[in-house]
Amino acid sequence: MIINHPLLGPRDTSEFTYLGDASLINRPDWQSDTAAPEFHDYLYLRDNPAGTHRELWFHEQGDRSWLVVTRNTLTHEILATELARDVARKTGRGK
Amino acid sequence: MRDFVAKTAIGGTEPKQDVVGTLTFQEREDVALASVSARPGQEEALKTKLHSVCGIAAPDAGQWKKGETSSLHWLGPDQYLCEEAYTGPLELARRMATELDGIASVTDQSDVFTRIDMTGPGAIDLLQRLTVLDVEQMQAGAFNRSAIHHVGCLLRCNEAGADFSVYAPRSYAISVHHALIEVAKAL
Repeated sequence: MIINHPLLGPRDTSEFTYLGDASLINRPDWQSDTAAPEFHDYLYLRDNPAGTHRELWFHEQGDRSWLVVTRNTLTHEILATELARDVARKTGRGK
Repeated sequence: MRDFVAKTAIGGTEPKQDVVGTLTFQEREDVALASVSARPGQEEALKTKLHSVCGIAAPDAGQWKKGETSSLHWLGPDQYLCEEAYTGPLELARRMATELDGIASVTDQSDVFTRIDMTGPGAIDLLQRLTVLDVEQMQAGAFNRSAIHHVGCLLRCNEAGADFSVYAPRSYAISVHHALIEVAKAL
């Protein structure tokens, strides 16, 4: 499998490690009044779609950037790759 | 006080040189390395400052650039590796840290990586057996981090197909050097 790195172009999947659902970027606010149930959902509840899935991959043997990879779980076709920090910044996170 | 003997990363008292078939391998102990990582919000300021400090523009992703005395390599988003001739322990890192104060974090890498230059026809055949990088497509100016013989290394292309520099982790230098030599013998 080849992952088309947004900065470096096509790279072999063996250079990457997989973390999980891309929603892990959206860590709840620990100071929220409902932090406990929010963290429960964040930690334990996952969608498990047969089809398009957004997930976090780490370019461990490369430039060590985190990517959000949109992948079809039925065909393994990779539909899109983005830098995770760009995805997070679009939601107003970071600087 | 004991008399200590300085040894190179590969273990000799002199940098190791091997000639195997058409390929020449040369251990380099004469270069200093320092990594430079932009502080949040200082990404563009770092590029500008690196240009004035090193005399060359910061390289794009997957690239390196050679200046008169310094070379800059792209390590990751907003991270660069600076290489210069070795003048003394931590000298490059300390100078860069002073120049880039408040803009970037600087870490010495001279004692982290060991450079092994590999020149001659056959370099592509050798690297294809040891790494998943598309080395045939690497042109002069390409610089990538990947696994070589399952060890995370940096690979720099100085001349397409014929001149590469492998930066192996110093603690793995003997293993990476061994892998390179054994594969070269088997080509």
